[in-house]
Amino acid sequence: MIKQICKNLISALAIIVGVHLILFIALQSPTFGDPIARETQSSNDRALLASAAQRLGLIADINFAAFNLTVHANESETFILTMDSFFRLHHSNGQAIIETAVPATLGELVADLNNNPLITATINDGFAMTSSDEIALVYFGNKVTLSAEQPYHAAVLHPVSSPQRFFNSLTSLLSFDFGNDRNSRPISNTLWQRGLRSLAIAAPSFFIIFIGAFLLAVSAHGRKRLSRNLNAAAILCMSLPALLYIFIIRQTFVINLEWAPLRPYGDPVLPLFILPILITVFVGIWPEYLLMRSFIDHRMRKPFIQAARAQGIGEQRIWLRHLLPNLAGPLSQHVALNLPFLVLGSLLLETIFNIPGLGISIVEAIQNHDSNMLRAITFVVAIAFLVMQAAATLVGRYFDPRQRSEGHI
Amino acid sequence: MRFSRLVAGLYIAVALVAASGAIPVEINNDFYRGNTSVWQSAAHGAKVALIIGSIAASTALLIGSVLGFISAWYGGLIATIILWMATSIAAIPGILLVLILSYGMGGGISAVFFSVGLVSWVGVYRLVHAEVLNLRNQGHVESASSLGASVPLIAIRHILPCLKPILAAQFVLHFMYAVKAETVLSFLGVGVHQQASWGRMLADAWAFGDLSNGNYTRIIVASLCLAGLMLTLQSHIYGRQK
Amino acid sequence: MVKIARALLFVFALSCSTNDKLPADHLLHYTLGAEPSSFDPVKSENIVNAVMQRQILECLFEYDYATNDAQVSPLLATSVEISDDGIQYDILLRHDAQFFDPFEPALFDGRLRALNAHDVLFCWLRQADARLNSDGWWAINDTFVGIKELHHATANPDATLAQQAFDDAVKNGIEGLQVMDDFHLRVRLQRSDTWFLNRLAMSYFSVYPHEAVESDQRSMRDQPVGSAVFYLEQFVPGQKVLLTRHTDWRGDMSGDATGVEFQVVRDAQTPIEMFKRGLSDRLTLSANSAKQFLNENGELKKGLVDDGVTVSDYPRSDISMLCFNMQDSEIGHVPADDAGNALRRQLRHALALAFPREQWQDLLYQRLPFISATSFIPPNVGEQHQVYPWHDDLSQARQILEEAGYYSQHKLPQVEFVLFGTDSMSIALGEIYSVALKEIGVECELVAVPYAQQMQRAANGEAQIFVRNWTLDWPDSRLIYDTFKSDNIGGSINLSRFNNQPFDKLLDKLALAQDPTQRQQIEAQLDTILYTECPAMPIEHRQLWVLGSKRITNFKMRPFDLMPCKSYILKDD
Repeated sequence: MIKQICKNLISALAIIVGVHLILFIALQSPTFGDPIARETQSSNDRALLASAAQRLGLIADINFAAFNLTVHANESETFILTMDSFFRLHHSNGQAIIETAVPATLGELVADLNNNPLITATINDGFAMTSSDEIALVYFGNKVTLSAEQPYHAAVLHPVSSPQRFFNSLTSLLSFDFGNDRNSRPISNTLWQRGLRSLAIAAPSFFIIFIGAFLLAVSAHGRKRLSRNLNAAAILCMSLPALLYIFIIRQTFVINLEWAPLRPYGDPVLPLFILPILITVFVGIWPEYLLMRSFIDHRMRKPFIQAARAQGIGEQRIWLRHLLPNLAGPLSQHVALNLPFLVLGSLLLETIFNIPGLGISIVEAIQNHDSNMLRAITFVVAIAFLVMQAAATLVGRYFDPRQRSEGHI
Repeated sequence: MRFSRLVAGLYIAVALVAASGAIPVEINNDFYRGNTSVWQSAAHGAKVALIIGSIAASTALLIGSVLGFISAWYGGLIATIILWMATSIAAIPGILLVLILSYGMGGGISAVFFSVGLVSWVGVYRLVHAEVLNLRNQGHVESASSLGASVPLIAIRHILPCLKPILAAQFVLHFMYAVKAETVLSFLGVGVHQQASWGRMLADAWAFGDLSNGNYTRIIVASLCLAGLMLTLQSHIYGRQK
Repeated sequence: MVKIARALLFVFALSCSTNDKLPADHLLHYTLGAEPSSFDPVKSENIVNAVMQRQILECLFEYDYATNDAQVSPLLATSVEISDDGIQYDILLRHDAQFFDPFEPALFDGRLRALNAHDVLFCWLRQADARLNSDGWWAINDTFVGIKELHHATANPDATLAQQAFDDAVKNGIEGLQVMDDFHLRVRLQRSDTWFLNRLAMSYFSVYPHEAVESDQRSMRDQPVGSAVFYLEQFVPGQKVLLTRHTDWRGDMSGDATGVEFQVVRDAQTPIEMFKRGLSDRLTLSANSAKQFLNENGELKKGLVDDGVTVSDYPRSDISMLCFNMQDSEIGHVPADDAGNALRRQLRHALALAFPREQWQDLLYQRLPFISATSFIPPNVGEQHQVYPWHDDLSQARQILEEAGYYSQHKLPQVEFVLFGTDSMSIALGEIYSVALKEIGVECELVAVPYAQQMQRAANGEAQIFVRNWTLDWPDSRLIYDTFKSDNIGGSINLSRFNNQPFDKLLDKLALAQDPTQRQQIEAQLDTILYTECPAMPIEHRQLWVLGSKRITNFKMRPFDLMPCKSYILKDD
């Protein structure tokens, strides 16, 4: 038993690591562009860039006081300093007069500057022997205009390796430290409030769908004509896009007939949820109905049901005593596995009905490059999925003695 | 079934004609406002839907079946790693991952089908894995293996034919998912650009206030085209199940 | 099943509500497309932030609601004395302005504290604090003597030294900004500036108490404290902002609204419907909504006029322009490559001529008015400008490319047009340009990104071709020419990355020129350079048409102040 629990915990942790790896690659690597530029909104400010790099975990520490580089120009023209893959000092007419590979030792840099007849450089501190893998000039590719005798700050910094960054990021997520969003507001608060709103629509919808689909499937069982009509309705309704329903229903009931309220989200909130819930139910009930139908039909054909009938047991008793217990396991697993995705909310519904839930947060987070928010939402849903999966397994084992005895998970 | 094949054929024909450039769409302001070229856009939408659906489904099938076969055939560590990848992807809501990937790739038609393909392979993998585990012990496969046939040969000559029904059903399912995903992505602005699609028609209808202006044509045409394709595909699955 | 259907219908009927009416609370109701990200004036570039801050915080000067011109009148100031050389300003402040703090823990006893010149000094110097990366640095950097030195000192990576520099400046002032006594401020400018008082009316120069910034338990970002007639009563992020009027303010509010409620509505359709139903008091007209409110002549429909709805046009001093990245190697200016630069100049002219100006404007505006730009400088800015023949002409574009040899000897580059949104309208606007470019043989890839990202890319030099808008804060042509000054490369101002020494020198001359004739001559030369080098092309000067509900009896738009809420007089049913 304990061995099994440990095994399950390890596999859950492995999945968490896997989810985090996907998020790390998608959101914290250069896939979405330079994370520092994103964080600082393309600032040229050196100190800001360096502290952003530190905050993002890209560098461990910075020592700005390491040395102080002063460039003296012999002419009264401006020089433009750029750093791409080289440290380049341009004259104002664009001609490059210095190119030094970065990182360079301080000595190499100063030597290059001193070798140029136009400019001289002085160092205020004796760090000429610092090793090249520690020196990096903190410009991050931005162009900076130097004027004559501009004191210029460089830094010694220690980059953090990607595996270390991955580990740091994972541990902060595991401790539910999601940090702040783009507007510097704590994400945990936002997640909680918005999650509740999405859940306020999704949870009632789901249970109405579940119960409604079940009752429809029960009604349709054994009634050929009704079954045929419902199947046709289900297939037809599933074929039309959800957007169509949302557009038409909203236009009809909110705009034209004014039967449902038109106002942004605010108290009282309950009337604002009714139409989205009804739309979610209408869109979602059909695939659930078809699933229930297949569950019921499949079990109704089993020998034990036929045997019960042959023994003269009434239809009601067959349903309650023989069928439902058999359905309970797979149905509750199905519910448990789908529940975590409820918190996501419907992106389309929330966008069109202006409900500030998690769905709309995702859209905003993607558009604003709010990687912290995306990480947080995805992580929370993934954790919920794992918890529910474990719960579903336990429920399944409870209802299905075969799983218990074989020790399956 | 015959009727659905006819309809499917019609979609393919329209898509091919659109791809050949024989259905011009005049890009002007009336077009964006949904006053002109609605049917022409719908025709181009068929082309886009078929491209997205087939490439996304093919990608999902290719990745899923290759990985499913490898993990079932070889087992051990590699199977564990593949299972780990699949479960991790499955733990993230599909639409969220598709959104993130599609946005990361900059939107556009290729972003849509690759992101859907990269997310959908998990379902294929699970089915193929289970089926190959089953088939591995079948007589014809064991014989081929003992006769020294190479693994790729066994996969293609002996296992793939048995997987065809599953793969065909999965192809259709993921095709449908990809086409539906395109409507959501286009509505959110990370879908198809620089060409007409059914998703874009719906997105433009909302953005340009078709309903407020009493113009229902664009929405109805796009929805009917989508529904027609979905019905055709669903009846294909349903027909096969029968 | 029938029972289920009945139950659902019952539930639905419960939700039906026709009481979508505003209560008669004398509150102004507005919708916002996005929530404010900060109430702190160091983050004021975002227009939503600036509008919110203006309701809660005050500046020394403001635009008078009664007039429609660009003259400012004193608000926190009472009078100003300007020296003959225009360098020194002696500003006297009113004695009865007070900060009101509605939040906990309260900053002041009795929640009130008198505003004085030290507060003004603190707030203005804070805009120059490099550590804050203020949005307002561009507005202050060439004003007071010594402000640049302060900015540099606060950029010291040694945090202690940076803080010390700021503290010293706050305590003792700087050479160009001195507190003479509690209600007397002396300003010395780096050079004379006709529009200096207008500059002081910008939200960057708002005044607030230093305690609100220095407190550990609160932040100015979310808990602003100001001296204006409204204070922040409630802020629900993502939902609404509620401002309430002080019950006994110092008494010179011309309007009578008891407060303002801003509700965040992200989609474009709902605000239109809300306005129609009387649930909001203001609506900015767009191409989609124009048809519903304006007739074919561009006038408000009669039914609406009879209902009491008013429309006000807002002759915004604005330019929307197509920009080329001048540091791009394929279309821009490459140092020491004269031959290539001449070719690329022709290419830029062709790209500009291919821009489908009329189609663009029709798609964006429909029945709404706009002014198709023939100059970068809007017509209401004052001076007459040399008008250059900016227009669209595909055949002329083709001719230029042919003469330059692009169809025979040189290869046409594939260009990239970065859009300012991922919505359907932005994509549509991009597509019409890419279709037009295709006509002249130029392949164009569209990059659809949200507005903030487009700005970021342009600021980084990663956007090749894009459209940007620039709105003037006062009618001074220099504010537009500054967007081409080489000093401003790398931020959000000179996005074209235009680096032209003669242009820069002329701009410096313009800053010093007082004589109108001389200014005109210099501006003509500046326009000539811009036309010849073509770092950008002016498209239109946007105008804003805004509807006011029947509740606002004196609704109008004024230059440079989008929501003068304290001036509206309401009439509730």
